[in-house]
Amino acid sequence: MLYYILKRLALLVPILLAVSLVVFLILRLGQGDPAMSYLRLSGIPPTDEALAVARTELGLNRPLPVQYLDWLGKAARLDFGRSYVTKNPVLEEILYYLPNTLVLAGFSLFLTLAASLPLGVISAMEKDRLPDQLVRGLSFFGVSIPNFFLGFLLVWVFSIKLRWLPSLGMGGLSHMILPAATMSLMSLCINARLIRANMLENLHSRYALYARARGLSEASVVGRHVLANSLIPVVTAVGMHVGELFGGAVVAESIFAWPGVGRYAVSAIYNRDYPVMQCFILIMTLLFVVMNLGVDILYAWLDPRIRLQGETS
Amino acid sequence: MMLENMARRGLVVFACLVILVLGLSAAAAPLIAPHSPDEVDLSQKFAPASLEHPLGCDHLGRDVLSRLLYGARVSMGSVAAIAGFILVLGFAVGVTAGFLGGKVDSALMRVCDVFLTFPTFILAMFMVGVLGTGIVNVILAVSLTHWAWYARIIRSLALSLKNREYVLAARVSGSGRMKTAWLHILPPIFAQLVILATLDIGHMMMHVSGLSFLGLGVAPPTPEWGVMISDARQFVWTHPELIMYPGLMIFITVMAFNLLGDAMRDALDPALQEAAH
Amino acid sequence: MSAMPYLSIRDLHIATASGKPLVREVNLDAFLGRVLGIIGESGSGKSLTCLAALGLLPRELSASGEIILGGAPMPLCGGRKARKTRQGRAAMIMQNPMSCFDPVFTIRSHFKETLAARGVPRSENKPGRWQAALEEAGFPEPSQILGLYPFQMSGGMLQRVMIALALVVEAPFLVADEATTDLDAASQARVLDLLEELKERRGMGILLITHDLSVIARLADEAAVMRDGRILDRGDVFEMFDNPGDAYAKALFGAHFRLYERKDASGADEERGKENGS
Repeated sequence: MLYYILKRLALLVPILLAVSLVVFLILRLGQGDPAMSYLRLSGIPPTDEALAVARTELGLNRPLPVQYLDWLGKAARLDFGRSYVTKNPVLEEILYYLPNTLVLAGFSLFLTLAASLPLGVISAMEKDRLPDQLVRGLSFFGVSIPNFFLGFLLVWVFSIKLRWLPSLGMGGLSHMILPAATMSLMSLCINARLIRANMLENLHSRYALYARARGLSEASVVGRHVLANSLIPVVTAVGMHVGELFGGAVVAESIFAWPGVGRYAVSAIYNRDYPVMQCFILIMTLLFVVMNLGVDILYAWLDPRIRLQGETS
Repeated sequence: MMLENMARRGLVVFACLVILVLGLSAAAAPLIAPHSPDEVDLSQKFAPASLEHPLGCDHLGRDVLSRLLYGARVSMGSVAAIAGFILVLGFAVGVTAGFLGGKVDSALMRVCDVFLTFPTFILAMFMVGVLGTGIVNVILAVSLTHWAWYARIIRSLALSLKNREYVLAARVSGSGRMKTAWLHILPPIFAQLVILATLDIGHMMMHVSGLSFLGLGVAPPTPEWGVMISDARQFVWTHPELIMYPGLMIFITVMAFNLLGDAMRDALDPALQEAAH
Repeated sequence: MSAMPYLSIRDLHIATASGKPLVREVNLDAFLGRVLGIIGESGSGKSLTCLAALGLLPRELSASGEIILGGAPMPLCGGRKARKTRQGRAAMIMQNPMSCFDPVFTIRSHFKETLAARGVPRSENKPGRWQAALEEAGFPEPSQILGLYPFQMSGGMLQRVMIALALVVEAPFLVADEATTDLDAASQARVLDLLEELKERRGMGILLITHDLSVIARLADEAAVMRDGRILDRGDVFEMFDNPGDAYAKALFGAHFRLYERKDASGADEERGKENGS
């Protein structure tokens, strides 16, 4: 197990390096003239002279690999430059908004997992009867609604018509519910379906039959054996959900004016604020990679076949 | 049980009809739209539904129905382009890697893995941010963020088929390597690829409209369903229908493709359910 | 030999929900201290019959008839009542033992929960009892086995753990559904030795289901041949081998003997003697 963890941690380095290379290449390929946008955003008229000065300042005259290594070195020292717009250090600004996004994403993930579990289990136990058909029908709608539409639907129903929940801004639980629901519905439905499929498979497995033969009550068979074997594989799906949640966060923050890093990134894109954009993608990807690593390690720990690899008698 | 099967078949037929209607409307939009989608007429601001404007007008007096029809062109067209791009790239890389194996396989899979390391929507945002907004860049961005997943699946399909008996038999009987590939492996791979793509079209469409919703997609005043929702967001209190119409269009389109994809998968290859999501 | 059958099956019919018959007019008697073997090809209905005997028929199937297990009526529809009847009266060992254990639970967990389900209080549900059962099943170092996960053991070992699980609940009757089918020859021999020992020493009754005639020859006292859900022939095992009543049974036994054909004309006893050693 320890070996597994160390191996995965070691792989992290080349992965992150590859990520940084891709980001850098896209950045350079697409930037047009970074000097131009820098000057534009700073309000300096782009005379030839100013452009030349900007180019030297931004180090754009050096060969590409040198620029990359220099950029990478800076990134390693957590120096992501300054925002073209606010002139503040980019990392500082992103880290200012990031916790808000993480809180929202965390709550969404919790909603996804907490709601999909009972739905998936009930759906499986009541296969083809009314509860199952309801859950399956709702799931089907749930994966077909775009989150930006869903957000406004929820606002219309819960904020405008029913006046139960606020429609804007950051705050406590009541402010979090609608944006989190917007983000989590699709993942919730996918996860419920996954749990249902796993449970159906395991309900008719041979070890379930043998457990019944040994005299275990149906409650024990389902609650202990079927559930354990059904939920462990779902852990790996969490990685996929987190990826969707990050994307959903950007949309939800826009709809609900939640001051998170997604909203910040979108305005940076409008402003062609490249330092912010690059830091944004690097940080979010880093988080995503670390989350996936955590999920994989958790899964390896939960499943004894992986945890104890190499210890077969 | 019988009723359920009939209902399911009915749904599939419905889905196909929806897709057909949408496709035709999108193609024939200039012919059937009652007005130009860009025609601003402030005197008609928020006009209610009427014979002249079957779904009313938006905040700039533009005919909603026409904008929806033209929006279909953008949405369906961009998704078709993305699907085409991904199918070609994913297929090419996947089959090459699976069939050739060895160093080529490793190298191609490393490239795939790098792309799969990024959260898709965030990467698409970044690409659009860097390359510039506009529908072409959105298509490019969504394609580049999605293809790697397909390439991996196609590769494993190619690997599993490579060693099947009929392929071995064909090679023994003297067919050249290329001929073996084309005749025996590609058709089943292509079929499963089509099923996967159909199931994923909804996802692609939501990313395209999502980017447009955020203002990163089509340039105004080009109508697109995501943009229409974004335009109408400030009127959610007073005129929510301006959000509902385009939202429902996306919802119905995505649902139709999901229904179709599910039906195709159930009919052609139940085992594929494990390979996908 | 006890006069009353421990397991008695009368007029058992099993059909699918749409009415297709799977098991027809099955009548069987199995006794404590004796082994009843059921021979048949796959699809002959032998597994369904033993599932019915234990009250484990899947809910989708419909069944009629009467089953008495250890003096108590066994409900054909399964469920709670069937479980209560089954407990303490019969245990099962199955084919492909690796798939019968829960991969994420240790052997210890399997023992503990089996006894807990039997109503054994915590104070008595201890490793000592489990290890005694494992020892009887042929494990010299039972404490090592308890901490293992199923994937860490071989099929043969797991099969004997299944037997140990049957012993730990003190069930007087054992249903063995193709228990030796997946095992290599050595493991198979060990398991069969163990079963024979349990029959002799503990007086256990065994319902042995198999498609392998050598296993029947080795272990069974009575045998029944099943085909397409029906019992074609039934009786003392020696008589069945010598003189099968039914044409199908004749073909079955004939094919089996042809595998062991020898040049001298000593006849059936010689062949059976050879099988006992194989």
